Amino acid sequence: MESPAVENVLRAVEAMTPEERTELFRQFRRYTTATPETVLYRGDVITIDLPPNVLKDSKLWQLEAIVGTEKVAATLHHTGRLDEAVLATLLAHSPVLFMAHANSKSYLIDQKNEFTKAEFTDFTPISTLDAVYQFGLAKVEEVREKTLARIS
Amino acid sequence: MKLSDYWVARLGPAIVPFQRRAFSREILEGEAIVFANDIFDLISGQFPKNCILTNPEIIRGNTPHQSRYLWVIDEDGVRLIREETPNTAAVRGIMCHTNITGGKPAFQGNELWFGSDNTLYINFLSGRYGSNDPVHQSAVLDYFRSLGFDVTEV
Repeated sequence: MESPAVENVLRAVEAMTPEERTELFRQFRRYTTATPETVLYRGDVITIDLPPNVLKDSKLWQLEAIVGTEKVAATLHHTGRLDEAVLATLLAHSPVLFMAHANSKSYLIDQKNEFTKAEFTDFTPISTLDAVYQFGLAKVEEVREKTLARIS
Repeated sequence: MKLSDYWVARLGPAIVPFQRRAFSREILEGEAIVFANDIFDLISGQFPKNCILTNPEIIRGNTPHQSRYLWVIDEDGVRLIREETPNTAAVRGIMCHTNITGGKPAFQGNELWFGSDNTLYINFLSGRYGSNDPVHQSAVLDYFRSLGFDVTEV
């Protein structure tokens, strides 16, 4: 049982559009961000400056899987850092995903088609970038690999 | 066993990994190494000797990853590998469907569990070779039944 104040916040978040939620999560970053981390990536020293919920344990392979290894490697070699602006550029052309429901559970799924429309309801499109901010790169990579992932 | 023209027509055409998903993911290093010693065929109507059996209620409840098998149907028929088999060459650390095919074309590929009730439990959750086409999915279930198995979609 959450406190009334927390319940009010949760209700407000649930009423938000995906875009509003993404912006909220970005604003939260000032409270949750970790110190920028420096890693060795394919021979380059890269500074990672992203919210911890976006990329855990510097698992850049998850970004490679979604965007393509060559593109990620070339971009990070050029920029020397992975921050919100670089991430937005890398994910700018990634296909849209969908949030949907089935059996009182929420899922992130990769396609809205005859099959998924028979299984799920309440489709809400969400860009890959917004999905990454809300659910993390690991969850989005899971969707690309398995076609869907449970989000709540 | 070589796939007949009948099944090729129903399950195909063969596709390269992620083709049905508009190539929204890339095959990473180590994910196309063929682990021949860990891959096995399904012999008609018989569960493999050392396969992990799972209670059907558990399969329906949370599709456990410990006993999840990946399967692929290509021109040579159906082949499987246990997903949790270690793959130290890949950052994911475990197997994926292209560790069965070497990244080559295949007709279909998804996941299954061997039920302790002697039933195969199959889903259609693979970005690499999976199809969302109900006609394909029906063909997949029919194909496993043609091999002599009881099959349930999960």
